[in-house]
Amino acid sequence: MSDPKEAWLRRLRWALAALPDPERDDIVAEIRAHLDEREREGGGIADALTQLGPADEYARGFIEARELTGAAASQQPGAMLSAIVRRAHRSIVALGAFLTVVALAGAAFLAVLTALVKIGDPAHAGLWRGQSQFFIGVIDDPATSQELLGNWIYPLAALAVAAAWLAGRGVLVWAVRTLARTT
Amino acid sequence: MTGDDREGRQAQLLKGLAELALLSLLDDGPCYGLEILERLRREAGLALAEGTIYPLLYRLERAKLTRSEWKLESEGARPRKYYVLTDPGRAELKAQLADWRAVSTHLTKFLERRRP
Repeated sequence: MSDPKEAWLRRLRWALAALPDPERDDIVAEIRAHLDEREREGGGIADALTQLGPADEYARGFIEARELTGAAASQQPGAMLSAIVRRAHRSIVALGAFLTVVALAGAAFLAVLTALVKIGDPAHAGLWRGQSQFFIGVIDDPATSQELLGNWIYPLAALAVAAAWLAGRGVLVWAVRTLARTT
Repeated sequence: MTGDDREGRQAQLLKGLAELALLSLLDDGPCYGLEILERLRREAGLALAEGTIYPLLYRLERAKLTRSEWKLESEGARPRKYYVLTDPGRAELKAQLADWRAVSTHLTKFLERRRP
């Protein structure tokens, strides 16, 4: 029969495959030292392993920590967004950050699209004020509303992209740091 | 309220407090994993689960708030991985302590408002 401690550590090593070898070896060596010390204190190894839980589940804590701290340190929007999207179904912070980023990107996209349409059709595209609402985009009958921006829509669309980029990046940095601390 | 609800809430609360307590502990000097776990349980009164400390130590080291080194305390002894606080770790401890003091002062005032 195989040694339960060695079997658990082998399973942990296998479950940590996503980590670089030196880090994986270091973690396994540290947990081995912990278990050895518990054994020397007279505690049963079975009890110590039960308290650590399944090796696969235990490994997840390290993998999550690596992914989140890596994304937070790099501050690359792609890495941060990817980390957020993968957790959106089980974290309110990740879901909120994802929806905020989508809303910001959507608003910037709409502003740019309207500005592009305005180049070819200046009479129907812009920011409009109707009787009770504001509307950005293309309108069928310009006589029913007042266009507010004119050619200012071009610099303002560029500004909207820059603002969405900065705000979105800020939201992602905050969310990844928060998740790293609470996951 | 079920026992599971209570344990889940306590676990979430502990995660936040464990980081602050750990940084504070390492400010006293180098410590290894099991020693950290026992001291946080005994001295800080945190009911941490057995394996909680290592993923936390790994994360703090990745964030460069701590660094570690394997050491042999004496001839024939088994090596232990000791952790120490870095300068960014000390700055983080200071910031987290300030946050904790502000929150605990306000919360204590609030919770004690109906007592004579």
